[in-house]
Amino acid sequence: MDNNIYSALYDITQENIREAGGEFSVSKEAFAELSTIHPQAANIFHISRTNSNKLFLEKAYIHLLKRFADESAYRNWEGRFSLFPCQFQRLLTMTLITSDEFSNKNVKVYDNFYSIHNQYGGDPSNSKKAVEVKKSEIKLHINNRLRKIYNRLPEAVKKVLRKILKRR
Amino acid sequence: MDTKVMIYSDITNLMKVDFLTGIQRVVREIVIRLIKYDSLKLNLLMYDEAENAYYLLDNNKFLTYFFNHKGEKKDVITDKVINFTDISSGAVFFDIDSVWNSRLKRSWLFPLLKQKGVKIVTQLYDLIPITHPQFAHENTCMNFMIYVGANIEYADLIIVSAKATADALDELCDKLGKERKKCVVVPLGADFSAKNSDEEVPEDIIKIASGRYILMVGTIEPRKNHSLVIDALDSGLAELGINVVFAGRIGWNVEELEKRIREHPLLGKNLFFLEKPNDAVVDLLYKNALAVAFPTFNEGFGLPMIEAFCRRTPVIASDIGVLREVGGEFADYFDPYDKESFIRAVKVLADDENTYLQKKALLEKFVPFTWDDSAKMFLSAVCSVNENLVQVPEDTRVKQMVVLTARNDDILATLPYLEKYMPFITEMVICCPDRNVDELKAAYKGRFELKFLTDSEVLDGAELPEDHQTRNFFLRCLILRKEIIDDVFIMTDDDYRPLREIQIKDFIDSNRYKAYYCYDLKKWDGTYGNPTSFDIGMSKTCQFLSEHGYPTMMYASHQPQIIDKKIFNEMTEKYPHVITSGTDEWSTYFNYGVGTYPDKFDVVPYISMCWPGAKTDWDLYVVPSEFVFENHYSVLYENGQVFEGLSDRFEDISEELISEKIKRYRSELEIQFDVRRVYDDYCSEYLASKNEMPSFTIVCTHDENQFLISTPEYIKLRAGSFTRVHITFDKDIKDWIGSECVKLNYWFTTNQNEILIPLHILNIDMEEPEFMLPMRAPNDCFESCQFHFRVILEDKNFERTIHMKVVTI
Repeated sequence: MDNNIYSALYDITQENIREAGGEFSVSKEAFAELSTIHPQAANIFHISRTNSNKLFLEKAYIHLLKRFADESAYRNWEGRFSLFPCQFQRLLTMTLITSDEFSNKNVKVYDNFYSIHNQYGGDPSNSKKAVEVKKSEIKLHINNRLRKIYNRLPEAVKKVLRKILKRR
Repeated sequence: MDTKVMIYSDITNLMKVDFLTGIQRVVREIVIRLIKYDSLKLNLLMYDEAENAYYLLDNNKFLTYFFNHKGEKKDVITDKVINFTDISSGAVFFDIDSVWNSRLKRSWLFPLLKQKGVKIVTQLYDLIPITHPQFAHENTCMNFMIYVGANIEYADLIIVSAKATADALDELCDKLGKERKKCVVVPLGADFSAKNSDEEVPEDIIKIASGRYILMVGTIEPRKNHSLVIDALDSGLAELGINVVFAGRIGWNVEELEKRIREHPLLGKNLFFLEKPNDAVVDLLYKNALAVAFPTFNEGFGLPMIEAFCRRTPVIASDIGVLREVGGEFADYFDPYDKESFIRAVKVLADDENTYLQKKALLEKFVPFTWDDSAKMFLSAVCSVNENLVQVPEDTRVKQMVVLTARNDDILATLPYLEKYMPFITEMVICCPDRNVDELKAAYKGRFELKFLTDSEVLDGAELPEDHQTRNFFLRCLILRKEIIDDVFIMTDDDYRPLREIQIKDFIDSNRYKAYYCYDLKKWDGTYGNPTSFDIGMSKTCQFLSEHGYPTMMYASHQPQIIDKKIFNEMTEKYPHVITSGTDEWSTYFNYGVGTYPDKFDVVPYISMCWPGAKTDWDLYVVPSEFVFENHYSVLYENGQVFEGLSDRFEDISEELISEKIKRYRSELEIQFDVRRVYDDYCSEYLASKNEMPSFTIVCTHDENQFLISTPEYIKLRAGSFTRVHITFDKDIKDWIGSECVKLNYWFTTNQNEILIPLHILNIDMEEPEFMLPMRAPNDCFESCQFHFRVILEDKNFERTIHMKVVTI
């Protein structure tokens, strides 16, 4: 499947709506999700692969509730966009999956590593059989923004950075 | 041979909506006529979200409900489930309903249909959500873009109601850099079905219809431009004694307009709003109107215009391309952005009786396109995708088999089976190392004419690749360029043995080559952690096919398959790099063939026994309906194996022996199906109680700077079995934490920590982090034991272990 055709269609239609004085509220990235959704399944691991809480909100609605996030969804959640992605994703995922709307959707959820039913789902420190985790020897004292920049770097550059930081 | 065209049509929306919009009325009229055509086998479908499949509708009951207006809609639905994979090669999938808002996105469905070369025909009503998105709800625009994109990619034919839409589609394809689609214009009919005789017209409507009024029929939405008509009413129409009647339901994004209508001072006096009018009301209003107003900004056709013409009612329409095309000289036109232009047009009809009578007289000449005419054209269009098909000629002869072998013993053992069971084969081309020829010539005494292509003849100085898969494909590509190879032949390996008499029909039927598939390349895992040359070949093949937009079924079905030399060589000429790329020869060829010449192939499940060799090698993707060939593994005849005690010598062959082998192999498969059933039942049970599927996921959590293992609360397995369980590893374990040496350990113990199944170690390939783990369960049944799962980042000295409850049954 050519995902580019969908991106190109989005650009063309966005241009048309702008000429008429309007604008799409659904982002191009969220729209791209629509072209790949399975009619009956949602894979939390796959949709969690983003550091943008807004984008995750859009993806979660599309995959779990099979619809776009509406205005009330944005209103309800934008106050929590500043949370760490992991926290935001966990909260949103569990809220949607336990909602009445979801219970009528006939959607099978896969790879929900946030699940309260799983071992180490939710907060690991609360797990009954938690094993002490040996922390990584690499301690990266960088803030969230720099992490985002790091994530976008080519692999070769990341390797060099890790070596440099390890030496320190 | 059944010559009827097999058509599948998704009419879910028609089945679900209570109120028929323009599109649903079209669907109804066309479908009730298509049902009656003998040349079609029309399968009407309704999508079910819970099943993620279609339910078949009953055609007769469809007619009863939608044509005769009797019975109930629910009676139309049968309980027969049609899965997407049931729609086979040669069929046509005809989309005529408003499917873009369906959860079953065409971007997901169409590639699946194309795996088998199904033809796709779509009725495209208009492109308004793309060309004029301001007139559609944003959600509709999003869904519609997916729908149009999928059709541009996959549809074989687009049917439109007006040339203006075809032109708009051409323009869109040009902007996208895509080849223009084949389009056919089929005008819509106007003689809608006989009205429901139970429908009555209320008294107050009769009173409205007795006045002088301009009528607008259709959904109240921004695109239809009702505001202009209200403005005209306020600016003089009311004073002229001309009323305005809106007949239709409230649509999207018209809150202000709706308020304006409902709070209008002239509502009930000069302005009338009739929501959800029945057909009898609409008919009366059309007949008695001074004129029908159609001030729309954009349309796909303009059915209200035609409906008005049929009742000899003048129409005042927007001066836009599609309405000029459909209305011709029969309508009067005005600028939809200019209220005064509209008022002038109304006055021309209202003030001058002669002009009005002339218009009515002109309309007497209007000959509507009937739905019968329209349906005939739809039929012709849909069937046209199956005309002038490029198929396998009737007189195609197959007499040759071609085998690639380096093992004299194996081919000599297999040849007698081929002689006995494939009487139409007279010639065997053996492609082998030079040193093998003399022995084969001396040893073979059968009826085949043996021809040889030795490595030196084939390679002609070229070097043979080292990798097994690459070597195989490379050799076959060179072999197929030799004159000695027939145009159409059966390709085989030296260990594929027929189990019954084979006919040409098993390879060519109804002018199509049989293409026997066994898997979907996208789902093939192979031997995880230790991929074989075969597995790597499958992965490369999948990548190549996906990149070039071909289907991705796996045709390495370990049985003889028919090959068209011309198509094979065309493929290697088009993609010369593929010759040394190590892709799978069978899958590359057949997917290229199905994608390029869909009418020449019939994609069907494979018919080979002992593929997989052992029941635990991999879970079947499709179950063979019969076993026609044996993929011979001598190890399977050893002690403790499935054919223990049976002979694999040709001299011992008998019907009873073959039956016994098939029976035993089927039993083995049944065991594995049972294992899978236990696991699937557990998944269903887990889903019902936890609202999600049980999953094993190892995830790197960046902001918490750790990774976590997520497993289900418990797992159920068949005792003593190998069950494949899906595992997902996060690639960020490599990218973020920086580990490239990831290991997975698992073992089973009793609750008292006694070992039941010892440690298994698996190296995780972080390039292929999702895979099926074959978990071997303890032999005994336990109500509760422990499954231990450990992930080790060896190079980071970092590990985590988890223990979970297991029930073995």
